[in-house]
Amino acid sequence: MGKHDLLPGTLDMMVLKTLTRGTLHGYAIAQLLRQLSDDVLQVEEGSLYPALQRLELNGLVEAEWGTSSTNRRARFYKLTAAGRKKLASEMERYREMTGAIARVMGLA
Amino acid sequence: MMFRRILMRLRYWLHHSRRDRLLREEMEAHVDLKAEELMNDGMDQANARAAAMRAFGNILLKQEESRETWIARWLGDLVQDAGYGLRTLRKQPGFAAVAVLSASLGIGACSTIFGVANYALFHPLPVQEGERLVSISNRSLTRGKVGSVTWPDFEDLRQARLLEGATAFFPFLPATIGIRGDPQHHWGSLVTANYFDVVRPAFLVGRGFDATRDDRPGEPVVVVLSYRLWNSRFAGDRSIVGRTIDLNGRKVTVIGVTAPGFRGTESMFFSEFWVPFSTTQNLEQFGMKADRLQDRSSQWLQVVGRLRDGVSQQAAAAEIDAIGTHLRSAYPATNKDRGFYVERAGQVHPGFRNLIRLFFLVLLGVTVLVLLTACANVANLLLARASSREKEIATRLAIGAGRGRVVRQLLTESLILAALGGAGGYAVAQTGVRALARARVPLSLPVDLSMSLDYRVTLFCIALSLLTGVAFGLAPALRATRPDLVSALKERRTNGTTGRRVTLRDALVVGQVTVCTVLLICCGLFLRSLQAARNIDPGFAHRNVLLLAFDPGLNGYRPERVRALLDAVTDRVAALPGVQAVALTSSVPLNMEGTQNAFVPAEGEDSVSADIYSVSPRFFETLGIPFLSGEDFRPGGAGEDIVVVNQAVADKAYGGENPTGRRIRYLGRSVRIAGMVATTKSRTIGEEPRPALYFSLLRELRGNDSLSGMTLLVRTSGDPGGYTAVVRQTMRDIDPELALFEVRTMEAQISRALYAPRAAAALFGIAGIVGLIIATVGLYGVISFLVARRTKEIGIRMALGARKVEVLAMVMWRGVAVTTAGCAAGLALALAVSRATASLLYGIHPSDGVTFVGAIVLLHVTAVIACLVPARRAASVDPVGTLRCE
Repeated sequence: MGKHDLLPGTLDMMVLKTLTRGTLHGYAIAQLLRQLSDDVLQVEEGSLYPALQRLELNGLVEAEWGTSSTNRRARFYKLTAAGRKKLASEMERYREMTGAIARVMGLA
Repeated sequence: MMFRRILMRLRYWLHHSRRDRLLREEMEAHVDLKAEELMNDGMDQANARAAAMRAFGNILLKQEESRETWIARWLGDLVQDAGYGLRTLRKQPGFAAVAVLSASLGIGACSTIFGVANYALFHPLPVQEGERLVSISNRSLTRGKVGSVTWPDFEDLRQARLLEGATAFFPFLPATIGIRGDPQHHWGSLVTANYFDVVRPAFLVGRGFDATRDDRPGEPVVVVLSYRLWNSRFAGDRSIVGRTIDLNGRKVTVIGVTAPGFRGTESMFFSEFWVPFSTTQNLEQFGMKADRLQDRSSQWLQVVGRLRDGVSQQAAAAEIDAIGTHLRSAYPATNKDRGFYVERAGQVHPGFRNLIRLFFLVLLGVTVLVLLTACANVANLLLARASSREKEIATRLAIGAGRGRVVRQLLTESLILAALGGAGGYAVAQTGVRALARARVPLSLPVDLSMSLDYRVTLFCIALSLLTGVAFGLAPALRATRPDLVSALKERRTNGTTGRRVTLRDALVVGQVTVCTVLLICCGLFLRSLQAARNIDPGFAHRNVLLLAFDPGLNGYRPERVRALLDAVTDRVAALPGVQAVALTSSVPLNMEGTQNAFVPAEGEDSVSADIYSVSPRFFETLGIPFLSGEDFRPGGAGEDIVVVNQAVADKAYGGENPTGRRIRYLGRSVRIAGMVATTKSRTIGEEPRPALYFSLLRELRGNDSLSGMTLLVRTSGDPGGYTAVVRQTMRDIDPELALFEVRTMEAQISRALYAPRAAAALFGIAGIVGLIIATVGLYGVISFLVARRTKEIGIRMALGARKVEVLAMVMWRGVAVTTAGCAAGLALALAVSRATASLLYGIHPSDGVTFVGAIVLLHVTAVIACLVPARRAASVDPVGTLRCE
């Protein structure tokens, strides 16, 4: 099974989703995304950072510096209330979309 | 929310260097963590780190992308580009100076013209709610000519219901205002008493006229002064209100002074004072015939109306049109083809509009040409620079800069140049407008060109700078970012002179030379025309003649007293030592103005048009005009009604036969031709012989309604300017109240007659010289660049045995070829232009050989000089050194 590029626009949503598990730093988010997708989704790990900056600017996540489990200085991201709301609406939209695409493709 | 986000972005951007650092740190931590983990899985350190980096992607790029989310990227880029642009320009001060200077001259010239046009066309009247003022003129329905209004028509116009009020005025009222024995000539307006109620300018002191009282017979005559007159003649004395001053020999009471800036409602003309009329008594006081108020054919008034609040100009125009229709049917004899024309008030007098328009069009054409050459120059410089930066640009493109990004950066540089040019241009425009405002137009009318630059001119300057910046920057920028990367990176192509890059640069220089040729040829034609005009014989002895104009009618002289005055003036001035002859005339030859009228040479024949002069005895002697037959007027002017004609009358009306002794019919009179004189130039230096009739001034004085009075001619031995003081003093002794205006020598008068060709020569001369400088710089730049690019080729040629002279010739040939191409195109254009201006040229053919050849030679000599420096540089190339260094 090959590796696939992300559907456009879905990275932000998935980052928000991983953060529902708690406060995470960038690397942990990348790890989680990889593990959760069983290595199918091919994300250039660096792409995470522009996305995180974007989310932070729009007030969907908050960030602060802290120390990682291996005693490294790292920046930890946390979902905000606005982020939760955004995630819910994004997931709703996503469900509608995939449902619709699946119906069109005759898989439903 | 939105606002907070913008604030946040701004904060991010302001602290972007710190944020950048932190982001970098965060990303590096990520890579480290990854590498650590991989090492825990058993990978060695170097491999782990490489794998971590690979998984992460390009750190720089990601950083860039993150930064992009902070603020629109262009803002950061702009600052970066501007900084870079400024640094590059500072490193090449010569290039920057030439480019900025070129742009300044071009933008400045255009902005000056725009400033003048802007002032003439858009300057708002400094009055209360000026947008409600409309100017109403007559328009001929058959010929479309716009002109003044008659008094009876005005009486109907002021009934218009959509107008709150309407005022009529005569804007060219000459008057003598005397202050403690210092009479001076001024221009004012004769206005209806409601003038200030309609126009509503601000007052500095006092008030305007009282429409119910100030023009009634028996009331004291009142006057309102302009700020300018009050300031210059009354030293800004506020107590002047209520006092009387001496106006045309009568006591009139000053009731107010208008605030600075108000000069009447006519653009480009000014009024220094306002006196009310509408009764015959007031009219006569100012030397006008009272029957003008009944005359339906005498069009002499300007009309300004104030629209009622909320009424549109269209609505008012419709109502006024209806009045015109009514007048046409009611008075077919006079109003048959007369309608009305309504427009915003404060514009250029309709009678002069076409002239002004033509003036601006010519000016604009010339300045746009100059701007184009300037732009071509800057574009050329930028092209040259872009080519020499080819490697830099190619490198930037190769390491991943977007083409748009590089184009934008190059454009920023050209915009910086243009902005500097715009600033310089604004300074040029300010100087230019000031210089124009000082220009004296040789008309005996109250013309005022003083003006100022307003925000529109500033905006124009800015817009023009942006436009030129993009115009001269875009092509070079696009071109520079297009090279094929590989060859540009590898090495400069050795034969870089071939190929399309040079064609565009050459074309630009050819264009510059073309424009330059046209400008120089135009300048040359006018200069040659001036030279020719100076050498021609006006038909009278113009040296050693002093002219003094005065107007006894303005000083309240009745015709019977005028004769005594004139006798005293001629006798006493003639008695002055050094004065050889003295005469009077109603109009001076070569004054560009004057009366023209038709006469019937013999009963039953077609009438012939002639210039009409009224002259005193000895006029012909004073001006040295020879009598061909017959005799001069007798002193005293009594006796038979006679006329003296010139040779042109004999040629035009009598088939060349001497008409002395025959009778003509003129204005209903039968007049005997008493003599014939040689033909002189009458209106302009360049004219064909014009028929002229000379009548006796003393006979014509009765009922003289003339505008500019008469002129005393004094023939002196030696420089006439030296007699000015003593003649003035003599006149003052005779009547201290009499104002003398336009005191000048005949030679000055003639040089004034050459004003138009001189102004044109000056205009084209300045434009031509600026164009020449710009083109020279352009040519120099192109050839220098060519030499720089071909250094290696030249080195090889010389190594293979080419002599220095051959190299020199090769380079020079290139410059001369470009110049010749430009000249050829310019010649064709100049021929077309000179045909169009043929009517303004005197004494030379529009394709004057001297001018054309002169311009070509001048351009080629300049081209050779411009090429000489780079050509010598080429010839001194050291073949060994060049080849080794490559």
